Amino acid sequence: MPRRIWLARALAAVFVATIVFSGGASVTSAAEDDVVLDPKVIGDPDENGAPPSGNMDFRDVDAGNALTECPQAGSTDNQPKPLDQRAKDRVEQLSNGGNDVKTNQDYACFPQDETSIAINPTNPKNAIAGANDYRLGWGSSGFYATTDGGAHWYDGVKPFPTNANQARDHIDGGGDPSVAFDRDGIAYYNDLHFMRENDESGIFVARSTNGGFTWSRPCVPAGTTDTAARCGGNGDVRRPGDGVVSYFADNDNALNGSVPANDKNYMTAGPRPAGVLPTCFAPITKAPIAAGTDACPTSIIGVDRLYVTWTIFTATTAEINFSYSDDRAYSWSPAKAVSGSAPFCVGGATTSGCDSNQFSTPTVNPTTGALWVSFENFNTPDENQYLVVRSTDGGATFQGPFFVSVVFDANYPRSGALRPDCTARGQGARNVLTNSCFRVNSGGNVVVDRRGGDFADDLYLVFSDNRNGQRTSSNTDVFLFASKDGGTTWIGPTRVNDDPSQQPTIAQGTRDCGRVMGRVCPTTAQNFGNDEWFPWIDISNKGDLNVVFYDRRLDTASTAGEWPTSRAAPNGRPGNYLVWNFGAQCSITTTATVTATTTSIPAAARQCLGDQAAIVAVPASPPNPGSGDTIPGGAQTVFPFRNFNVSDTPSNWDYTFRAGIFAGDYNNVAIGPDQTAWAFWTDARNGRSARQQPGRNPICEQSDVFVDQYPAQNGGSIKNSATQGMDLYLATPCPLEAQDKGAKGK
Amino acid sequence: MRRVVIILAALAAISCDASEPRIAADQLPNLVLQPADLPTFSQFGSGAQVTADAHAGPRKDPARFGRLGGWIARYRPADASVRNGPLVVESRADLFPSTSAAKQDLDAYSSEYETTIARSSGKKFGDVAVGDEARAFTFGGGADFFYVIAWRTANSTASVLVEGSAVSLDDALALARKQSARLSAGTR
Repeated sequence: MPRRIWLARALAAVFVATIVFSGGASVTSAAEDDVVLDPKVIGDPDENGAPPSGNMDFRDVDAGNALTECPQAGSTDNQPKPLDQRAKDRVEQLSNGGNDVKTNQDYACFPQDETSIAINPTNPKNAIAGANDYRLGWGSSGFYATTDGGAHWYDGVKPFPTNANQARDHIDGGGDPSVAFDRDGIAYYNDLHFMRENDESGIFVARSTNGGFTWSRPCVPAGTTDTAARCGGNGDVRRPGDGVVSYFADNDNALNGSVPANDKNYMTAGPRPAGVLPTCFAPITKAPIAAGTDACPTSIIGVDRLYVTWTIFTATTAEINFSYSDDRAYSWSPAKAVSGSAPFCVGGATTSGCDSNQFSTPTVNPTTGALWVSFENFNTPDENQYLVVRSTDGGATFQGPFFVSVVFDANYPRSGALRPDCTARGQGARNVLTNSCFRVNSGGNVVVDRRGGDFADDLYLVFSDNRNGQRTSSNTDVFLFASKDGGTTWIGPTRVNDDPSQQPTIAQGTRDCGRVMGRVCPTTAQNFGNDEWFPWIDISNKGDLNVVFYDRRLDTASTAGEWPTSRAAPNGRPGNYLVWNFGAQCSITTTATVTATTTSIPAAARQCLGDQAAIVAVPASPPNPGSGDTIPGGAQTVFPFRNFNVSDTPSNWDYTFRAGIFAGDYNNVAIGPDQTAWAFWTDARNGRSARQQPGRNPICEQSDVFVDQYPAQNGGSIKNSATQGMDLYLATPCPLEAQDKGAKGK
Repeated sequence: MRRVVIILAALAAISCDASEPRIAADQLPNLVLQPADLPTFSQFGSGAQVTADAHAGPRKDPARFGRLGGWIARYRPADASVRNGPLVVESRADLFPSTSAAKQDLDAYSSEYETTIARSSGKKFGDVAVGDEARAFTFGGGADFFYVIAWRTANSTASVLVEGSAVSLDDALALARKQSARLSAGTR
């Protein structure tokens, strides 16, 4: 047994003992009656703890062989074309019918997924985007840039960071993309890089001064002192440490977890708070250097402070870390753990430590420079929780964590003993959905209102969970929580997706059937609603909230599919299979302060809130809702968000990557200065079945990344034409014209 | 004196292992089911086992028992309309420095699948004749059933998992014996 699991189980045993011998003082009376059949083990990534990101899970996986030419629906480029006179199959013709634009320009069957997009505040026709991009045959960081409003895109793979080892000078595995602009229009690309066959990893930021067409190459400095630090070989003009946020070298050249791992980063940019002075940092020691000195000339100081948050996994912890740069990503402050401690955290390495976390996202108020970081926390007895921390001094100090909500994600279908169909397809012990085997998580993001003034303390946070579903029949929904007092107090939940959804009753076994003793799942899986997952939220300069998420509501009754045993009972149910990207909009025009002592939410603060939204009580101990409790968000009747499908075509995610087991870990939307929302997502409309060429791995499976734009206010509309030809997408063969010529015997 | 005894015991163990039948590491790619073994199937995965292929449980650590490496291949019917017989086949092979280490891994297989069947109302079969020693399990329900045969041949362990709506132990045994023949052929 690996040491990591030993330690985790030992800690879990201590934790369980603590709960038992303390009389369960932290547990509600309802929960005391619940006996969880498979208790969580904090710190074990194979249990219901903080999961590593997908590109870390698949770090040593090859993605394809580039022999085939995949369908190209959505392409708008004017580049030269391959020699093939390839006939378009019916699905490709249908998939070309809308206005979705494919941003990746490669032809081969390599996937792109896990999307991030930003719009240049100085030029609304310039957008940059990032995704996990496997075109090299393994996972790395793809970039996509447009300067004509998204009509055409330039793309490529971002340069690999150099490491300190001159004999092996690049860190070629990558992913977890996050892109941002500062107010000067300089673009930044934040990502994770790692070696594929050992534990070396780092968090990096590259810089582009031409709208995302060329990128700086981060440099892990060689040398042992700041003055002797260097990049690469002779003649390398880069500043040592350029773009290096965090870096761990391996100590034994093996992929065995012998050193901490960086993971799941996200970035943002915003003004330094009043009174906060710009600072540079030395490349080796990370010692602070005042701006205006030789080592920190004012010429490199940026208009904004850049913030990156990420997770550092050790043998027993997964803390959210934070770093900032004032010099346009040339140097970064030392990593600082910010997830902290609170009475509602349990089972950590320290008393009340909130040290098992993932999915952090930062947001900065563009008027005050105040910073918030949201993340999911797993230091709980059973169900998990969303937390937020706040800094008003540029990250020198943090307040919180503040409690946002319980996250009901302990009851997802999970690859393993209970979903062996997914294990057989190659999925690890990860949360999945009914009918499918791609990994999912509950993570979302937080965004601060951009308007300042009375809105300066207003925050909006989204995540998804399975409170309205069961292990045997998922029904994940998207929920919004709002804060009107700077993140201390939260109001929610508001279900964002407006399709029918109902919470399993006690007679139906509750959300915890099969997981809690006495809660029995129905013999035949019930349909509580369709899955919505991977939400992301942004807000316009005028207060228009825009949420995107993946959605299955338009597939109401299909039963066919690529993997029969994943669609038939007990793993599947009719409908809820094909995927669309959806948008949801609601506008905030008024506000009012709401704190924990507010007795009634004023009307000015109720915009975009559903009828079940209420002030969230901050627990004095780790929350542990009982399986028989009625959970808010399960009986909402007022839906303030108008929903519409963004993608113009269905997509079968069984065609994404390695038998449909990975399609990224998040989704994205950004609103430009002209109030245009840009949705940027992944789908598999150009993927096809991989059955046709035995021995080739994989053939025809792939996903691409697409953009669509619409006004941030009242911009979208339901397009039922999106279901045209839907049955063709359920099982789509790899067309002979798209296959490797060798398979045709030529 | 005690140190000398330990060294002698270790040497004895090494010499004992050195005389055992062995499968060499360069044989690994040949130790799993090959496309020729399943002529009506399509291979959708093949290669060295990677992190994502490791199951939670006692066999997760790639360095367990001094493991030298592993290979995996996955298959499904080439004809998408097929509903009878195996719909997914997973074939694994792992090599160890000694027979005793392979025995430990086979025990770990047992532990892993005993946990699985406990959670999903499955069962463990009695003796099955594959390789030097073997274990067999079944689990699943509804329209999704699984049979797993895990066995040891010399210093290797191997397994065949079959999944389908209408599958049987015989389906798994037939494939396991094909793979077992490959292991036997690779034993020197």
